[in-house]
Amino acid sequence: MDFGLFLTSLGNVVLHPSVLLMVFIGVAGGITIGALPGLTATMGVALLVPFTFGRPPTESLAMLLGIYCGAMYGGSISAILIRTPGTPAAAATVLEGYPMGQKGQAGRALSMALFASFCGGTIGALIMTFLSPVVSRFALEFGPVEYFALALFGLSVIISISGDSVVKGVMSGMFGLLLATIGFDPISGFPRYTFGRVELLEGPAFIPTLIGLFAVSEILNSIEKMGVLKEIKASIDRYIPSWQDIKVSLKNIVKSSLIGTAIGSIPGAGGDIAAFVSYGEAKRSSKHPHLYGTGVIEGVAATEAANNACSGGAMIPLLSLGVPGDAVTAVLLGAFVIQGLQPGPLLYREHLDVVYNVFASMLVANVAMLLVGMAGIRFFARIILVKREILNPVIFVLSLVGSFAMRQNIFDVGLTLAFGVLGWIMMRAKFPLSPILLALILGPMTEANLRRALTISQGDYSILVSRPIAIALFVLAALSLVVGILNQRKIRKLLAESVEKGQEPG
Amino acid sequence: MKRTAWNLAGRALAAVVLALVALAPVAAQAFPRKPVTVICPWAPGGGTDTILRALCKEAEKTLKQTINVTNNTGGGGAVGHSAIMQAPADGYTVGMITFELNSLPPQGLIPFDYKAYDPLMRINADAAALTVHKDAPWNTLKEFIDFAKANPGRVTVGNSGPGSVWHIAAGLMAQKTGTNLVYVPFDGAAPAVTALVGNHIRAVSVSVAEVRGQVQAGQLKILGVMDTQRNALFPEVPTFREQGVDVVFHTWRGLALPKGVPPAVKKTLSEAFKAAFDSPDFKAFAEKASLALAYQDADEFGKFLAQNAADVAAVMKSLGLAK
Amino acid sequence: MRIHDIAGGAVGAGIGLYALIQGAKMPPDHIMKIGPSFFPSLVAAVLIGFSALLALQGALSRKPGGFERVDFRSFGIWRALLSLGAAAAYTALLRPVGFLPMTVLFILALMLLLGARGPLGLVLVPLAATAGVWLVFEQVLLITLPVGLLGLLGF
Repeated sequence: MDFGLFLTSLGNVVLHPSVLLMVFIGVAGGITIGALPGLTATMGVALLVPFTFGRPPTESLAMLLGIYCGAMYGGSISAILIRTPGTPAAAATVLEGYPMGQKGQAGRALSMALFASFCGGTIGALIMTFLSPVVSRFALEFGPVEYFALALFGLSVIISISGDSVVKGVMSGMFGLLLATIGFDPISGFPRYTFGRVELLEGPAFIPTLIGLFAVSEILNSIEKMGVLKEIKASIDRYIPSWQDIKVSLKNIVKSSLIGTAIGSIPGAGGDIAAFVSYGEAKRSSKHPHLYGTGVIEGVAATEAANNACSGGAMIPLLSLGVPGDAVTAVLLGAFVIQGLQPGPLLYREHLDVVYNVFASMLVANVAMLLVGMAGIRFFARIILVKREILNPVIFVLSLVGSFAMRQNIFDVGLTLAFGVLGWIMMRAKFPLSPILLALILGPMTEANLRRALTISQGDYSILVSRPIAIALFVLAALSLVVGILNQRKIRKLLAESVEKGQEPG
Repeated sequence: MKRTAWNLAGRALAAVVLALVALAPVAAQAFPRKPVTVICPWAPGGGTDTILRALCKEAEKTLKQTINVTNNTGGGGAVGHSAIMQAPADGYTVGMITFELNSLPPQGLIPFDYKAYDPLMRINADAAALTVHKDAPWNTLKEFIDFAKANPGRVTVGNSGPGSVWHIAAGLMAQKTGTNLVYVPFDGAAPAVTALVGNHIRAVSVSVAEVRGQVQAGQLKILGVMDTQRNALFPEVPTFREQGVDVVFHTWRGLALPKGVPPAVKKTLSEAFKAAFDSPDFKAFAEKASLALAYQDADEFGKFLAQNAADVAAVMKSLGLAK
Repeated sequence: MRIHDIAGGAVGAGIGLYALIQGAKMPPDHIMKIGPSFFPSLVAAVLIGFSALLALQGALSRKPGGFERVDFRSFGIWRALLSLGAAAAYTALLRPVGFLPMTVLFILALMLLLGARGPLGLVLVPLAATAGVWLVFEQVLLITLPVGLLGLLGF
């Protein structure tokens, strides 16, 4: 590492008030966009790119990276407070974050999410800067067969997020996979299960489905039980993570950051997948897996570290290969080109200063995220204490407008309501909702790559076992399935014990 | 008392009517009196959206009104294109139409075609190119075609989606050269290019702009462009025609109005967008984005649309993509 | 016996069957051996298998539970259904009437339904929330929200 060059780059960001200001504006805007259901980091970056045309590269990059980092954390705020993942990447954070909020520990969950996001983001940025050429070679190895194997591995997490009944979890997951096949067939282009609606040609739009299943179902549930459920009291809440919490979560934060960076570096696999995989791993390695689902702080730490590490990871193929790692970096690629910078292998050889500038901006953006987030938590955590008769109507409107915003289509708002009702019914019948989401994320990846691989091999199935990385991933998927099912037994035993001891689970 | 009230009301009414009559011609002349909406059938931040927003930013200056870009996405462009067609024909809604308007009807995916619009102008036309990995054994189009002929059904060519513009481009090339290629659709051009860099497929048939970065970095090489003239960025790369293959194929983008917009309003709009097109800022933007600008006025664009629609329908039919 | 698990299995199997029947009507792929119906049919088969398993578990289980009963005599369920109806009306009227008036009305109606009674809050919350959402979406993020009736006034 050229330390002098790095210091210069850091100076380029920290010593220029205008650049620093852009970072803070970007981060604050990113957190807001991320927290609002229906607005994703991609949209935030895309809509702001035109404003950066006339500005110098350091300023505009700093701002765009600020939005990117901020939005990744922002998604967890609404996930924890109102059970709506603000961005798809925060979907796994709902699993432990929302129960924590309901127990009156919103501040504790939010501050841990922020701390883990900061750690994940920083680790991701470090790996991006120093290991890019190595990691990017690994990323290029990913062809259709490897993607298919990775998707299967991701789907094996369904067992871990099934809740009480694996059978119901698998049913939810298969239902999600079927939903994912609605619309154009990825290989032949034939429209499937569209019920004759043009709006369904690209499948049920992801964000409206997400908002419907999670937010609207919860609003309906909450409206039904108003007055029956007691109001949440944040009596023993805190706004900075305690030393104890950090100690408990540190192992998971480091592990998840590495998982997040690795998955983020593979083009087309992003924070949503990384967060679920990390959650599965955290639960697997936990000493008390039976408490997962009732608000476990390490769960929040794992998912948030993973999705923020992903932003660093996704920058790896962008900078070193000129290939975007996810939707946000695809937009960033456009911004780079407009600024006259062509990411690619030459960047690390000839323009290390640009790489260091990106690195410095990401580091500063993460610090800015920590500061802005800490200032905001006190305020955010109180949202949950607002009276239900005010909170519910406002969240309802936000959910509906958020689902409209994505495609500016009334059909999507109706879809959100329909999925809200479905989620409400499934909650009552004790069907877990997260497997649907995971299947929606991974379904297209699974199918398209399986069929793409078979197209390349002209229908010869042996292509699936012809590549080492893919075989390794298949083995991992099988292991994860077996371990997940064994774990489920252990959980049942632990639950039975804790009931015998007269303890409430969780 | 009562009578005075009625009287007053009557006078007021008369005054309002008079004012409206007096204002009406002024209002007609003063188009646009309120912000103009431009419908983009593709997602914010994508190529089409970026160009449109850059163009609208300039057009606002001439039009002296705000232009709002709305993204009505979905259905592979079908949702946005039908929204443009159904918009009120008062000139306050303009639409960006793209190549898919000509490839969706043959597949039976939309019940209307280019004839349902009043074209305004063409903005750009990007030619397809055949690009392979830097280590590939072919250096000319002929070597590639000879290899494909010797190995039918073994050469994989990536494109940006089933029935997409670059899928059709590869199909057209195979049809003209009598080769049997394997088309591998990806979820957009970028993943296809990535797969080519990683050597998972043998070639891609996307535009020069989409492979530019990798070619400049020395990862990929272009064997030919499907254009009438060489690309400004890579003047050393010959066209298909120069190499004896008569294929010219473009994707295109343009502006159109719903049918029935008053001619005066149409004139105002087309002048404003032409001025924006000619502005140095837009030209500079297009160059940075390596966009091949190709202006055509409403008449030429209309003729172009008809020709292109016929060509595309014919190729899709022969590829088995049409219904 | 758990009736609802058997019912859940039946619904799952029904969805799977629908996917299979529709899949059978899809065209085969010319080039590859597997066409558009391959993947959904595979998933549907697994879904039907697990649905049968759930129904079996339900039939054999001696413990009740696992479903939250719907009590149509409680006010809560009607309140939730009325809110849902209000949201459906909001969705249907958003385009013709417009975002601003519909949102103020919707929030006000829900607040009244949920038992908010302070006159100050009933005026302030709908207006402030609507203005906030409008500012962020329409002004900052440039997302066009339906104008509706206000469009007639030349906005």
